[in-house]
Amino acid sequence: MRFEVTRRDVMRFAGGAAIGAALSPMPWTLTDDLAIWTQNWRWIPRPSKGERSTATTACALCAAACPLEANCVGKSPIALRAAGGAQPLCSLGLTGHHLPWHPARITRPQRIERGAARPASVSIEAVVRETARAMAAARSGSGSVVVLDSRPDRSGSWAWQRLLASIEGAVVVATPGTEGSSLDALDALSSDATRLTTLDLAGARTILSFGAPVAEGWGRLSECCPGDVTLVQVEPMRSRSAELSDHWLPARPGTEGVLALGIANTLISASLVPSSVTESIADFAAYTDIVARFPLARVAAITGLAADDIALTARELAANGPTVVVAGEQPGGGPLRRSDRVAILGLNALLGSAGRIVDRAELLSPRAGEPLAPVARLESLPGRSVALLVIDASAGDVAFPWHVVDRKLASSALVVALSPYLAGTARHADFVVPTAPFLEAIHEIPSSRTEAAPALSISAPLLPAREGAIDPVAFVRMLASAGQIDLGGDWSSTESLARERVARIHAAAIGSVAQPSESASLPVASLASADELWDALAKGGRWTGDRAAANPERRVELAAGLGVDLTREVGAAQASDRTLKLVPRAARETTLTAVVSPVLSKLYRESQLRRSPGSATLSPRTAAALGLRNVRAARILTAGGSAHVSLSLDEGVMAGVVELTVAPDLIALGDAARADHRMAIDLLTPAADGSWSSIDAELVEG
Amino acid sequence: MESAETTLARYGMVIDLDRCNGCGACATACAVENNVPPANTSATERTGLTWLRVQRVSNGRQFPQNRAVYIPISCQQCGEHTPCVSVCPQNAVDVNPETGVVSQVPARCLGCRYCMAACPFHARYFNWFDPKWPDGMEATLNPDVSIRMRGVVEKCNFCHGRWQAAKAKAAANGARDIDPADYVPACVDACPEKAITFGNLDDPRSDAARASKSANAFRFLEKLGTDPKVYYRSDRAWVRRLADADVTARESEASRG
Amino acid sequence: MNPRGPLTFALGLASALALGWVAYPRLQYRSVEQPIQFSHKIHTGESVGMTCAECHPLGDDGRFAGLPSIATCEPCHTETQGTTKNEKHFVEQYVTKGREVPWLVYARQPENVYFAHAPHIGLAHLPCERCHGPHGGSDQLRPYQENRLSSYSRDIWGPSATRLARAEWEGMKMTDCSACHEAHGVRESCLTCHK
Repeated sequence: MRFEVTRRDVMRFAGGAAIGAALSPMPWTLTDDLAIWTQNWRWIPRPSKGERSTATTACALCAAACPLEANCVGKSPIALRAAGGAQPLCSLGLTGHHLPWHPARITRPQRIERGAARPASVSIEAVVRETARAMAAARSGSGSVVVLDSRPDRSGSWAWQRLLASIEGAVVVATPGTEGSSLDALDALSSDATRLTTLDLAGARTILSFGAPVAEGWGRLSECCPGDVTLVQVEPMRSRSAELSDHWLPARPGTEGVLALGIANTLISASLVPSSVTESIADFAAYTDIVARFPLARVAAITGLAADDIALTARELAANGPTVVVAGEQPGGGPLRRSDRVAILGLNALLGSAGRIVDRAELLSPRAGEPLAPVARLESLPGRSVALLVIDASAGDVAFPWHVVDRKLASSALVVALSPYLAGTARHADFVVPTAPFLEAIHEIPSSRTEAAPALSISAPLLPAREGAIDPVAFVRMLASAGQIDLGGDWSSTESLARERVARIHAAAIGSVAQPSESASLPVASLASADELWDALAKGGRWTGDRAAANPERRVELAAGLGVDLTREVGAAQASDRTLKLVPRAARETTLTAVVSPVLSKLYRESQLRRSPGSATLSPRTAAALGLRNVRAARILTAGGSAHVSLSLDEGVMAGVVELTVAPDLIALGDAARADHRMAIDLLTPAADGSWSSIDAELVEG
Repeated sequence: MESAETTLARYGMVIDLDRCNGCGACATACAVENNVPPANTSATERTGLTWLRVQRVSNGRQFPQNRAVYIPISCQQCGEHTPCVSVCPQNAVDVNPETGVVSQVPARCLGCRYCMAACPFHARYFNWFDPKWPDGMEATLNPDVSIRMRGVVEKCNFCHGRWQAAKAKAAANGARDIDPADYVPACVDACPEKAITFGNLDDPRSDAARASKSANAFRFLEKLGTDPKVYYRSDRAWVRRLADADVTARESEASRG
Repeated sequence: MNPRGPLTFALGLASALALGWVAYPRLQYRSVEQPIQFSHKIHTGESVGMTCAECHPLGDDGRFAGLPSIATCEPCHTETQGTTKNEKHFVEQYVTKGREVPWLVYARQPENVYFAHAPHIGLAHLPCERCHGPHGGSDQLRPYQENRLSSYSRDIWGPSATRLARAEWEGMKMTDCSACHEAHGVRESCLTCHK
């Protein structure tokens, strides 16, 4: 029989198959499985499963050292929150556990060749060799060695000072813009210049702040002055501190010093100063002469404030004492000009609160009696003199314009950075040594200059350090052995030095430890061993030493510090009608770190809560005057260069001012680095004294 | 077997706009808690994914009289005629009778975005991109909340994972009702100004119920009759006058023109 | 009548039935052996006499521990118990090295499902066997079967392809949860069981 498949056969077979299939579970389960398949793409990440636990440590992301509690799954933190009823964390702290996985994280030393498209990995030996060579050259007189320290007073800072002790002219310098660096001006005013001073905020009833982010963790205001404190904030923009203040005085950028002198003028002419002032201000007559040049009407015209407001503020400061006047660093804007700071800080003496200028009680160093290189200020270094610059950003970064440092570098200078990330200041280095980030290693959080009492917290790691991370103290040791420098002792890591310091604090039995979820502080004297003290600190505790006593004998000299620029140049005509005052703007916490969690894009990119990185904001009136009313993209021109910015208009910005968002930059937010990437903050050119709080700029379309 | 009756609750919050300073910690804590991925590099305000978005609204006056109010807007958890529930063709949205929370089951959502069009508060968000975290950051994800895929809608559910955890804790100890202290959404927890009061609006002893009845408390778009469970309060009259405005659109209007 | 017509039809019917009933269920799942052959029977049997909750406890915080970590096994298994190859492998590869065993969980629910043991144990007083069957008395670990398309465990659908004539504990699909909830008057909404 010939077998021929006909169309009809196929149809019959298919019909049978269709009925058979319908009578089997196949189509029904297949439909179910397919539906589920579309809900489970393999590229959708899955949270890890595991045992839940909690751990406490201290946040190492800023000097506030908030105690935090981590919720962990299988020992890996999935959420951070303030431990034991402490002040809730900021956005940076809440996402701190993301940072070890930031896209800019590096685990191998990098060499950044000028002009090369991307950095190349090198061996740590090569970095040590090159650095030691530059160090040896500096010893034989090719230039100086400078270490930029973003968080002074750490054990790591001490290790650098110890290493540099044998090199003449080598110094450790606080990174420009480090919190509290404005208070440097106090040291110079003081009759006893050998002692470091600070302001004691404790017990103040009124705080007059010039740009300091006092309501945002600066100087731990919430802890030292709980309750009833009146905050008067002088700032050209409505920052978060301005928003939270009782009175906001929006003085034109760059006129802060004049405002201080205007307030002084009112205080003196209305006889609101205590009689003892002639003693506490050594050159009172000369100071009065300068102040007399700033009558209320002139100050009002220069600052753009109402004369009545200034007079009222002056009266309030005198009536509602004790008053502390602080000159701080605007986030991203660094310190004000030096003469402005003198005018501002001098008000403390004028208000009779000279006692609030206190000697800064020093934090014990890890080891006693060893030779140390001095701590210096960057401005005091001659230009083009630095042959080797080490940027220690292992404990955080500070946003500052590179020009500030660049002009101190010799043409062939070597720049080496220590940082967990190829971001922030480290991007300016020739070599970057990878260090372990927050939560992967011991970090020390000493008190900053804004605190009157010495303090120390230890941030204990909750995660194992990723392979490749190099301890900054171990790096110092490597440099010492490469350069045949004898450092003495057997310390070899941050932890070993930090433990030595904690042992010294324990032996001295000073101060007490505040622990999260315990209301009473634990006196150090009551602890049986240094290890007990260490454990209390590693679990989020903060050790605080004794507050330095106020020194009522202190005399300050003001007239000399007020300088030429303040008395003559203020109010000088602008270069042209198109010239604007460029004011850097950022949230405080983002200026203290090289990277932020990419999740903060919720605030910067996916909503208009915070201006996106590199964007410029000006008032609609100013924009109209410049013909930029309907312009979205613009170019900003400064002496430091030009850059494309996106323009937004906001009635909340002062006329004639352009606010530039300088932190976080795009790489800090997690974007891939482009070879031509330029940080917005580098547009700012510093004044002769190294300040960049406001500069001249022009905006053009395009 | 005994019946499984629990006390019904109607959770809500009262946000004090005079305390909010726009720090954004609530929005950050929300993204961390609910596994909301970082923005795609091409994401904008329009295509972003923020269960809780803080809107900045100005009083429209010139500097220095210009003032801003920060308004955290999440799903307002409408109780009546819930617009998103009524339009969903997929039954992916319902109102939980036990908590009053408007749910969204992303696995069930087919991505038609009808609910987004229906929502008067613009509080629903569409996944325009695949959820992506930097390599390794998956280790920080919260196992109590599932990850949503591209093509579905999601929104605030008052940190439902936390409610479930509180419920499980109560159940483990044989109790049907949760301890109110165990159920606090992430944004409430994170607010440094304690601007958000959260609780059962039907429980007259709860702080939230009391605050929602205080003078100067108001709700947005109350005139629509959707009975939102998110209240706001402010002593400033110009802020209260925003109640009938679409605040999600105001910022760009104010800054542009 | 030409018998070829009905024959072709029957052939089509038979091959589809064979495919649907025999071949497809085999294709549908991928079998994976557990890393270690574990006997529940030895542990729960008379000589050891452990209860379920000793290794799978429900914490006071309402979180169910799931599978025990190696630390739970360690006290008894620092030294090899018995002479089996399996035990030797377990002690050498996992206990001594402190590594966790990558068990494959038969009852693992999909990512979008929220399931808490606490209400089922603490409020409904269900015995473990109600959902897990006689697993606690098993001597062998059966291979883990993963759906090739959905990657779900076979236990979600249940062993029977038709879901007919199944035991009470077989199958953990949404309808199974709902049926029991409905029968006992549990108030349900989407977020009761989804996350």
